[in-house]
Amino acid sequence: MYPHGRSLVKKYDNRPFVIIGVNSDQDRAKLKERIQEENITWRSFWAGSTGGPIPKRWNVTGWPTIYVLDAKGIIRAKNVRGPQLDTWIEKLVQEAEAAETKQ
Amino acid sequence: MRVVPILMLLTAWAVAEEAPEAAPDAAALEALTAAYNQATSAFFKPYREAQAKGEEYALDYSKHPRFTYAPKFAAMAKKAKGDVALDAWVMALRSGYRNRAEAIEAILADHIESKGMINVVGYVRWEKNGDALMQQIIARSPHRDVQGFAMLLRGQTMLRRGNPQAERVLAAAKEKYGDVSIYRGRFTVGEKADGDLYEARHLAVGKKAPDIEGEDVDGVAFKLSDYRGKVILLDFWGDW
Repeated sequence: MYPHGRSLVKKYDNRPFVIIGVNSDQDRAKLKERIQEENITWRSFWAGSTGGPIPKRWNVTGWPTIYVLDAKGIIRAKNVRGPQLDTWIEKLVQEAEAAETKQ
Repeated sequence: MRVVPILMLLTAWAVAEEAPEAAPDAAALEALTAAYNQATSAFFKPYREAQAKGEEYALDYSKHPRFTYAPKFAAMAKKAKGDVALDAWVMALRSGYRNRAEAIEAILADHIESKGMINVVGYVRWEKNGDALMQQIIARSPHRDVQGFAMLLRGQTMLRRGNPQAERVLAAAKEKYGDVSIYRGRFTVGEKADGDLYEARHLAVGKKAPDIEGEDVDGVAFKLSDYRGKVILLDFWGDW
Protein backbone atom coordinates (compact mmCIF):
# COMPACT_ATOMS: atom_id res chain seq x y z
CA MET A 1 0.00 0.00 0.00
CA TYR A 2 2.77 2.44 0.85
CA PRO A 3 4.25 2.91 -2.64
CA HIS A 4 0.77 3.19 -4.17
CA GLY A 5 -0.24 5.68 -1.46
CA ARG A 6 2.88 7.75 -2.04
CA SER A 7 2.29 7.85 -5.78
CA LEU A 8 -1.35 8.90 -5.30
CA VAL A 9 -0.36 11.74 -2.96
CA LYS A 10 2.17 12.92 -5.53
CA LYS A 11 -0.24 12.58 -8.48
CA TYR A 12 -2.99 14.61 -6.82
CA ASP A 13 -0.80 17.26 -5.23
CA ASN A 14 -2.76 20.57 -5.15
CA ARG A 15 -5.94 18.78 -6.19
CA PRO A 16 -8.89 17.96 -3.91
CA PHE A 17 -7.69 14.56 -2.71
CA VAL A 18 -6.38 13.20 0.57
CA ILE A 19 -5.59 9.82 2.08
CA ILE A 20 -6.77 9.40 5.67
CA GLY A 21 -5.65 6.23 7.42
CA VAL A 22 -7.03 4.46 10.43
CA ASN A 23 -4.09 2.62 11.90
CA SER A 24 -4.43 -0.42 14.14
CA ASP A 25 -0.86 -0.95 15.33
CA GLN A 26 -0.68 -1.17 19.09
CA ASP A 27 2.77 0.28 19.62
CA ARG A 28 2.53 3.99 18.84
CA ALA A 29 6.26 4.67 19.11
CA LYS A 30 7.14 1.82 16.76
CA LEU A 31 4.40 2.98 14.39
CA LYS A 32 5.89 6.48 14.21
CA GLU A 33 9.25 4.93 13.30
CA ARG A 34 7.66 2.90 10.51
CA ILE A 35 5.84 5.96 9.18
CA GLN A 36 9.18 7.74 8.89
CA GLU A 37 10.91 4.74 7.33
CA GLU A 38 8.19 4.20 4.73
CA ASN A 39 7.75 7.92 4.11
CA ILE A 40 4.03 7.73 4.81
CA THR A 41 3.10 11.36 4.37
CA TRP A 42 -0.64 11.06 4.92
CA ARG A 43 -2.42 11.42 8.23
CA SER A 44 -3.86 8.51 10.19
CA PHE A 45 -6.16 8.18 13.12
CA TRP A 46 -4.48 5.97 15.68
CA ALA A 47 -7.10 3.33 16.54
CA GLY A 48 -4.99 1.69 19.22
CA SER A 49 -5.76 -1.85 18.00
CA THR A 50 -7.85 -3.74 15.45
CA GLY A 51 -10.67 -3.70 18.02
CA GLY A 52 -10.45 0.01 18.81
CA PRO A 53 -13.58 2.19 18.80
CA ILE A 54 -13.10 3.47 15.22
CA PRO A 55 -12.69 0.07 13.47
CA LYS A 56 -15.40 -1.33 15.74
CA ARG A 57 -17.86 1.37 14.72
CA TRP A 58 -17.01 0.78 11.04
CA ASN A 59 -17.39 -2.99 11.51
CA VAL A 60 -13.92 -3.60 10.12
CA THR A 61 -12.96 -7.27 10.34
CA GLY A 62 -10.70 -7.61 7.30
CA TRP A 63 -7.48 -5.59 7.03
CA PRO A 64 -6.92 -3.54 5.00
CA THR A 65 -10.41 -2.19 4.33
CA ILE A 66 -10.85 0.76 2.00
CA TYR A 67 -13.62 3.30 1.52
CA VAL A 68 -13.62 6.04 -1.11
CA LEU A 69 -15.63 9.15 -0.16
CA ASP A 70 -16.48 11.95 -2.54
CA ALA A 71 -16.00 15.64 -1.72
CA LYS A 72 -19.48 15.74 -0.11
CA GLY A 73 -18.66 12.85 2.22
CA ILE A 74 -20.75 10.24 0.40
CA ILE A 75 -19.39 6.68 0.22
CA ARG A 76 -18.88 5.98 -3.46
CA ALA A 77 -16.73 2.82 -3.43
CA LYS A 78 -15.73 0.12 -0.98
CA ASN A 79 -12.74 -2.24 -1.00
CA VAL A 80 -11.62 -1.40 -4.52
CA ARG A 81 -7.94 -1.88 -5.32
CA GLY A 82 -5.33 -1.18 -7.99
CA PRO A 83 -6.64 0.15 -11.32
CA GLN A 84 -10.27 0.18 -10.09
CA LEU A 85 -9.27 2.37 -7.16
CA ASP A 86 -7.31 4.71 -9.44
CA THR A 87 -10.29 5.04 -11.78
CA TRP A 88 -12.62 5.94 -8.90
CA ILE A 89 -10.25 8.53 -7.48
CA GLU A 90 -9.76 10.19 -10.86
CA LYS A 91 -13.51 10.28 -11.50
CA LEU A 92 -14.32 11.77 -8.11
CA VAL A 93 -11.51 14.33 -8.18
CA GLN A 94 -12.74 15.54 -11.56
CA GLU A 95 -16.28 15.70 -10.14
CA ALA A 96 -15.04 17.77 -7.19
CA GLU A 97 -13.10 20.14 -9.43
CA ALA A 98 -16.08 20.59 -11.75
CA ALA A 99 -18.24 21.48 -8.72
CA GLU A 100 -15.60 23.95 -7.52
CA THR A 101 -15.43 25.81 -10.84
CA LYS A 102 -19.24 26.12 -10.94
CA GLN A 103 -19.20 28.17 -7.71
CA MET B 1 7.23 -79.44 -7.36
CA ARG B 2 5.74 -78.52 -3.94
CA VAL B 3 2.11 -77.77 -4.94
CA VAL B 4 0.50 -77.87 -1.49
CA PRO B 5 2.59 -75.10 0.14
CA ILE B 6 2.12 -72.91 -2.96
CA LEU B 7 -1.66 -73.38 -2.81
CA MET B 8 -1.61 -72.53 0.90
CA LEU B 9 0.38 -69.40 0.13
CA LEU B 10 -2.05 -68.34 -2.58
CA THR B 11 -5.05 -68.97 -0.30
CA ALA B 12 -3.50 -67.00 2.54
CA TRP B 13 -2.80 -64.12 0.17
CA ALA B 14 -6.36 -64.22 -1.22
CA VAL B 15 -7.87 -64.20 2.30
CA ALA B 16 -5.64 -61.31 3.34
CA GLU B 17 -6.73 -59.27 0.29
CA GLU B 18 -10.43 -59.85 1.01
CA ALA B 19 -10.32 -58.95 4.73
CA PRO B 20 -11.75 -55.42 4.90
CA GLU B 21 -9.49 -52.72 6.32
CA ALA B 22 -10.96 -51.42 9.58
CA ALA B 23 -12.35 -47.89 9.27
CA PRO B 24 -10.06 -45.34 10.95
CA ASP B 25 -11.30 -44.59 14.44
CA ALA B 26 -11.15 -41.51 16.65
CA ALA B 27 -7.76 -42.57 18.00
CA ALA B 28 -6.33 -42.74 14.48
CA LEU B 29 -7.58 -39.21 13.71
CA GLU B 30 -6.23 -37.97 17.04
CA ALA B 31 -2.83 -39.44 16.21
CA LEU B 32 -2.79 -37.85 12.75
CA THR B 33 -3.84 -34.49 14.21
CA ALA B 34 -1.10 -34.70 16.84
CA ALA B 35 1.45 -35.50 14.13
CA TYR B 36 0.25 -32.50 12.12
CA ASN B 37 0.49 -30.19 15.13
CA GLN B 38 4.00 -31.41 15.91
CA ALA B 39 5.12 -30.96 12.31
CA THR B 40 3.66 -27.44 12.27
CA SER B 41 5.41 -26.55 15.52
CA ALA B 42 8.70 -27.85 14.10
CA PHE B 43 8.15 -25.77 10.97
CA PHE B 44 7.76 -22.55 13.01
CA LYS B 45 10.57 -23.34 15.47
CA PRO B 46 13.43 -21.50 13.69
CA TYR B 47 11.21 -18.44 13.36
CA ARG B 48 10.27 -18.48 17.07
CA GLU B 49 13.91 -18.93 18.08
CA ALA B 50 15.02 -16.03 15.88
CA GLN B 51 12.23 -13.82 17.23
CA ALA B 52 13.36 -14.57 20.81
CA LYS B 53 16.81 -13.29 19.89
CA GLY B 54 15.33 -10.25 18.16
CA GLU B 55 16.45 -11.59 14.79
CA GLU B 56 14.65 -12.11 11.49
CA TYR B 57 13.92 -15.48 9.89
CA ALA B 58 12.19 -15.92 6.55
CA LEU B 59 9.96 -18.99 6.56
CA ASP B 60 9.46 -20.90 3.30
CA TYR B 61 5.70 -21.34 3.38
CA SER B 62 5.81 -23.80 0.51
CA LYS B 63 7.26 -26.23 3.08
CA HIS B 64 4.38 -25.85 5.56
CA PRO B 65 3.17 -29.33 6.66
CA ARG B 66 -0.40 -28.50 5.59
CA PHE B 67 0.46 -29.47 2.00
CA THR B 68 1.27 -33.04 2.98
CA TYR B 69 -1.29 -33.40 5.76
CA ALA B 70 -4.43 -32.00 4.12
CA PRO B 71 -4.60 -34.92 1.64
CA LYS B 72 -3.96 -37.37 4.51
CA PHE B 73 -6.91 -35.99 6.45
CA ALA B 74 -9.08 -36.20 3.33
CA ALA B 75 -8.01 -39.80 2.69
CA MET B 76 -8.85 -40.71 6.29
CA ALA B 77 -12.22 -38.95 6.01
CA LYS B 78 -13.14 -41.07 2.99
CA LYS B 79 -12.43 -44.32 4.87
CA ALA B 80 -13.92 -43.30 8.19
CA LYS B 81 -17.52 -43.35 9.37
CA GLY B 82 -19.79 -41.13 11.44
CA ASP B 83 -18.32 -38.31 13.49
CA VAL B 84 -14.75 -39.45 12.79
CA ALA B 85 -15.37 -38.88 9.07
CA LEU B 86 -16.82 -35.41 9.71
CA ASP B 87 -13.97 -34.44 12.03
CA ALA B 88 -11.41 -35.68 9.51
CA TRP B 89 -13.06 -33.61 6.76
CA VAL B 90 -12.98 -30.56 9.04
CA MET B 91 -9.25 -31.12 9.62
CA ALA B 92 -8.78 -31.42 5.85
CA LEU B 93 -10.56 -28.10 5.31
CA ARG B 94 -8.66 -26.44 8.15
CA SER B 95 -5.33 -27.54 6.68
CA GLY B 96 -6.31 -26.09 3.32
CA TYR B 97 -7.39 -29.17 1.35
CA ARG B 98 -7.45 -28.04 -2.27
CA ASN B 99 -10.61 -29.82 -3.35
CA ARG B 100 -12.98 -27.92 -1.08
CA ALA B 101 -16.00 -28.73 -3.23
CA GLU B 102 -15.37 -32.44 -2.74
CA ALA B 103 -15.05 -32.08 1.03
CA ILE B 104 -18.17 -29.93 1.33
CA GLU B 105 -20.21 -32.25 -0.89
CA ALA B 106 -19.23 -35.27 1.20
CA ILE B 107 -19.98 -33.44 4.43
CA LEU B 108 -23.40 -32.20 3.33
CA ALA B 109 -24.35 -35.65 2.01
CA ASP B 110 -23.63 -37.49 5.26
CA HIS B 111 -23.37 -35.00 8.11
CA ILE B 112 -25.73 -32.07 7.53
CA GLU B 113 -27.66 -32.83 10.74
CA SER B 114 -24.58 -33.18 12.89
CA LYS B 115 -23.64 -30.76 15.68
CA GLY B 116 -20.21 -30.67 14.05
CA MET B 117 -21.64 -28.57 11.19
CA ILE B 118 -20.83 -25.55 13.36
CA ASN B 119 -17.22 -26.03 12.21
CA VAL B 120 -18.17 -26.36 8.56
CA VAL B 121 -20.40 -23.36 7.82
CA GLY B 122 -17.42 -21.01 7.76
CA TYR B 123 -16.09 -22.87 4.73
CA VAL B 124 -19.39 -23.34 2.92
CA ARG B 125 -20.15 -19.60 2.82
CA TRP B 126 -17.52 -18.76 0.23
CA GLU B 127 -18.34 -21.54 -2.24
CA LYS B 128 -19.76 -20.53 -5.62
CA ASN B 129 -23.19 -21.94 -4.73
CA GLY B 130 -22.55 -21.09 -1.09
CA ASP B 131 -25.74 -19.10 -0.57
CA ALA B 132 -27.95 -22.03 -1.62
CA LEU B 133 -25.90 -24.43 0.52
CA MET B 134 -26.20 -22.15 3.55
CA GLN B 135 -29.97 -22.09 3.10
CA GLN B 136 -29.97 -25.91 2.98
CA ILE B 137 -28.03 -26.09 6.22
CA ILE B 138 -30.36 -23.62 7.94
CA ALA B 139 -33.39 -25.62 6.78
CA ARG B 140 -32.09 -29.07 7.65
CA SER B 141 -30.01 -28.71 10.77
CA PRO B 142 -31.88 -29.54 13.98
CA HIS B 143 -29.35 -27.54 16.02
CA ARG B 144 -30.19 -23.95 16.87
CA ASP B 145 -26.58 -22.81 17.12
CA VAL B 146 -25.82 -24.21 13.65
CA GLN B 147 -28.94 -22.53 12.20
CA GLY B 148 -28.12 -19.20 13.83
CA PHE B 149 -24.44 -19.18 12.88
CA ALA B 150 -25.27 -20.20 9.31
CA MET B 151 -27.87 -17.44 8.98
CA LEU B 152 -25.45 -14.85 10.37
CA LEU B 153 -22.66 -15.94 8.03
CA ARG B 154 -25.06 -16.03 5.10
CA GLY B 155 -26.03 -12.41 5.79
CA GLN B 156 -22.40 -11.37 6.31
CA THR B 157 -21.36 -12.98 3.03
CA MET B 158 -24.13 -11.10 1.21
CA LEU B 159 -22.93 -7.89 2.85
CA ARG B 160 -19.36 -8.52 1.69
CA ARG B 161 -20.64 -9.07 -1.83
CA GLY B 162 -22.79 -5.91 -1.84
CA ASN B 163 -26.03 -7.90 -2.04
CA PRO B 164 -28.93 -5.60 -0.97
CA GLN B 165 -30.70 -8.62 0.63
CA ALA B 166 -28.02 -8.67 3.31
CA GLU B 167 -29.93 -6.39 5.69
CA ARG B 168 -33.05 -8.58 5.62
CA VAL B 169 -31.10 -11.79 6.32
CA LEU B 170 -29.01 -10.18 9.09
CA ALA B 171 -32.12 -8.73 10.73
CA ALA B 172 -33.75 -12.19 10.64
CA ALA B 173 -30.63 -13.74 12.18
CA LYS B 174 -30.73 -11.19 14.99
CA GLU B 175 -34.45 -11.64 15.59
CA LYS B 176 -34.54 -15.45 15.57
CA TYR B 177 -31.09 -16.31 16.90
CA GLY B 178 -29.81 -13.18 18.65
CA ASP B 179 -29.07 -15.02 21.89
CA VAL B 180 -27.14 -17.91 20.26
CA SER B 181 -23.57 -18.06 21.52
CA ILE B 182 -20.80 -18.40 18.91
CA TYR B 183 -16.99 -18.27 18.62
CA ARG B 184 -16.54 -20.33 21.78
CA GLY B 185 -18.85 -18.13 23.80
CA ARG B 186 -17.05 -14.90 23.00
CA PHE B 187 -19.94 -13.42 21.06
CA THR B 188 -23.63 -13.84 20.37
CA VAL B 189 -25.23 -13.87 16.93
CA GLY B 190 -27.03 -10.66 17.97
CA GLU B 191 -23.83 -8.76 18.77
CA LYS B 192 -22.22 -9.70 15.46
CA ALA B 193 -25.43 -8.99 13.56
CA ASP B 194 -25.58 -5.50 15.14
CA GLY B 195 -22.18 -4.58 13.69
CA ASP B 196 -23.13 -5.94 10.27
CA LEU B 197 -26.56 -4.24 10.33
CA TYR B 198 -24.89 -0.92 11.11
CA GLU B 199 -22.61 -1.47 8.13
CA ALA B 200 -25.49 -2.51 5.85
CA ARG B 201 -27.55 0.54 6.86
CA HIS B 202 -24.90 3.28 7.18
CA LEU B 203 -21.77 2.20 5.38
CA ALA B 204 -23.13 1.08 2.04
CA VAL B 205 -22.19 2.79 -1.21
CA GLY B 206 -24.41 5.86 -1.56
CA LYS B 207 -24.65 6.58 2.18
CA LYS B 208 -23.18 9.65 3.85
CA ALA B 209 -20.15 8.45 5.81
CA PRO B 210 -20.43 8.90 9.58
CA ASP B 211 -17.89 11.38 10.93
CA ILE B 212 -14.80 10.07 12.69
CA GLU B 213 -13.30 11.87 15.68
CA GLY B 214 -9.95 10.77 17.01
CA GLU B 215 -6.26 11.48 17.48
CA ASP B 216 -3.54 11.12 14.91
CA VAL B 217 -0.26 9.34 15.51
CA ASP B 218 1.19 12.49 17.11
CA GLY B 219 -1.73 12.78 19.51
CA VAL B 220 -3.38 15.70 17.72
CA ALA B 221 -7.19 15.56 17.68
CA PHE B 222 -8.93 15.82 14.33
CA LYS B 223 -12.07 14.82 12.47
CA LEU B 224 -12.77 13.20 9.13
CA SER B 225 -15.12 16.11 8.35
CA ASP B 226 -12.13 18.50 8.54
CA TYR B 227 -11.40 17.22 5.04
CA ARG B 228 -14.85 17.80 3.57
CA GLY B 229 -14.45 19.22 0.06
CA LYS B 230 -11.76 16.70 -0.83
CA VAL B 231 -12.03 13.19 -2.16
CA ILE B 232 -10.98 10.92 0.71
CA LEU B 233 -9.35 7.52 0.43
CA LEU B 234 -10.12 6.13 3.90
CA ASP B 235 -7.72 3.29 4.54
CA PHE B 236 -7.99 0.98 7.56
CA TRP B 237 -4.44 -0.37 7.77
CA GLY B 238 -1.78 -1.85 9.99
CA ASP B 239 1.91 -2.59 9.68
CA TRP B 240 1.58 -5.96 11.46
